[in-house]
Amino acid sequence: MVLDWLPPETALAVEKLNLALNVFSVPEIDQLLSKTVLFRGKKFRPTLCFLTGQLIGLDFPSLEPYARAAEFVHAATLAHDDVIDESPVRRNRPTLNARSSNARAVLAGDLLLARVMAELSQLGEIQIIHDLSNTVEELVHGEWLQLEARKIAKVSRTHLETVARKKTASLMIWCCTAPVRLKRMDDSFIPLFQMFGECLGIVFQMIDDIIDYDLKSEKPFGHDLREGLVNFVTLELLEENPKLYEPVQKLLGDKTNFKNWPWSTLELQYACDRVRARACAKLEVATHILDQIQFKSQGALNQTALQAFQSILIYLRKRAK
Amino acid sequence: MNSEFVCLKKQNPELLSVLLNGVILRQEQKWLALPREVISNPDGNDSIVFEMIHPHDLYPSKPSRFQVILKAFRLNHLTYTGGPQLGVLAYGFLKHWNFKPLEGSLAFLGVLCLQASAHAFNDVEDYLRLNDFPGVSHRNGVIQRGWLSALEVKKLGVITFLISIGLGAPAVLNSGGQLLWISILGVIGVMSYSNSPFKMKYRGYSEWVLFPMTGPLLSDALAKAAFGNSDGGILLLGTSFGFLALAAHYAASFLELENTLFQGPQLLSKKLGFLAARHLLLLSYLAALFSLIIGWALGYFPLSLGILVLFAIPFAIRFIHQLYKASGPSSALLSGIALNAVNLHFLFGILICLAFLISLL
Repeated sequence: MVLDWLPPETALAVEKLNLALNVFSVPEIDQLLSKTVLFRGKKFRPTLCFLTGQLIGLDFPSLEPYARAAEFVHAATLAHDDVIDESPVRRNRPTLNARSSNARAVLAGDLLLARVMAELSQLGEIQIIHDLSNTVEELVHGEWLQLEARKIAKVSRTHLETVARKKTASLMIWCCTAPVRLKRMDDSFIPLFQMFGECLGIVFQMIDDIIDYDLKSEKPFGHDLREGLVNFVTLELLEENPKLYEPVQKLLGDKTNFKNWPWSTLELQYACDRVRARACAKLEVATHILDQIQFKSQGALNQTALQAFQSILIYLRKRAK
Repeated sequence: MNSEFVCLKKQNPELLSVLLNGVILRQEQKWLALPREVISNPDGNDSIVFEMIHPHDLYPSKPSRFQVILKAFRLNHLTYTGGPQLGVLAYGFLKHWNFKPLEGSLAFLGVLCLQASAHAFNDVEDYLRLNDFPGVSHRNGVIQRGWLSALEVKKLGVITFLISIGLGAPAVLNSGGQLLWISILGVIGVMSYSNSPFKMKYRGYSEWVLFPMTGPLLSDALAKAAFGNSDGGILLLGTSFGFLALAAHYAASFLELENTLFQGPQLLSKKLGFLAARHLLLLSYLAALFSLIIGWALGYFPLSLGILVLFAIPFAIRFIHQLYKASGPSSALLSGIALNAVNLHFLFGILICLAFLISLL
């Protein structure tokens, strides 16, 4: 697990992160959220927030509101995504919409976003709030693009990377840059942390797409295809084997339990290998950016946190291979 | 399949050699080196991450050398010059002009070779600028996949360029000076499109080169080469095809509109942005149609042209409808747009030729 590489103090901060909403007006929302999208998540985004903050010398209490905001925004997108995807299950548990209704799931997600606005506005960091609102816009745009792409086999790499950047990476970018703004570091650091967050986000998406075609994973095989979506692995399959466009087009969105896939094991293996290679290339970029940040900081970075980041990159590289 | 990675800075003297030859020497072995990522460095000395692949680990689906070379020339895009030329020939036969078979056929092939060489030079230049990463649907990807090196593609470009000069020479020499300046302009157009020192494409002048070279200049040149004759109908026919080629060019640019990292061509569509650029594409198609209408109104084109072109209208409408349905340049609805635009150009060409030939009967 990524979290295994954390310094103990960071792991403790993540574990103790308070995600209680205390919605006194409608207590039911609190319960629904705590049993679904806020239940035992990996808290990777808050982790990123804490670790970046630790790297540049911020204390955990000052980072807590932003880590909390990141997790709430992520949970809100999950709640809304489950409505859009009509998903009954997430993390092996019924989704919010399955437990209650679509309407309540949408409202619960809205509440999370409203709570984020309320809490952050009290802190007065306008630029961070502005960045977060841009991030939410990116998340919406990413989901919109993905909706448009349903049941379309011929998607471009540009499209997939844009969706990954907006849907997955944008919030991670914010988690990396919010601490930098809080610390009032030089503006020239912002693009570096943005690129780092983007690399992590896209790598996560690529690994997720490889897992989608892993028979040993918890997710059903080819889940994205059943949802009508082409992912990075499917794209590589199609680019290398154009004869597969027609059969894949027929499979898109077909949720019946089929076992006869139109590609060979070797073709799928090569496609996964290509995506692994691309993920590793992104990790090379992330490594170089981390080196640039280190060089620019002239030794002012927290070495424990730096080592944790390097370990995470090594872990992801192994995961990708 | 195991990949290794190496990072080279732009100012590294080894970089150009790696990009051109597509290979790198490491651990006393030759590896295929394919660029995968660009890292922007604050000091401006960007870095490029190369994936090093052992030649034995290359894709199992690599076509034969011959197929790879054909792919490098982007055969389906030869409709940009093939279509107008066929239209001109059909028009000339309709007008009962005196056909010069040797000069005409050699000039026809010469222009196709000229366009093929332009593709090769263009792809090499785009590759060296790191504009072309594999996966963009309208790119052939032969260099990006390691099937051919940039240097090999450049050599192919030079060879086809020289062949085109040789093929076009009889027509130019027998034209009594009529074709000399057009030919020179054509050659300069090809060489200046993406090559140094002009690099028109990257300076925002690609439309100024593309339109005449696939439009009225081309149609006029072939008409004079094949028939020793030209008229307003030839120019209007060429104008129509020129606008169709422009539309296809804009369609191909949509996927790159959000790509701010790379130094791509400075098209008008990029400057206008996606929403306005869609109108530009629509205007190009309308202008193409309008040119044909004017030609018909002035008596150059037969009625059958209008009737047959109508068959292409539903495809064009569906294509444009898809364009307007897309939410932005990254929309999946635009993924096949570049290829659809090329196919539309091809379809128009076929229908126009058929119209003239039917009228001949």
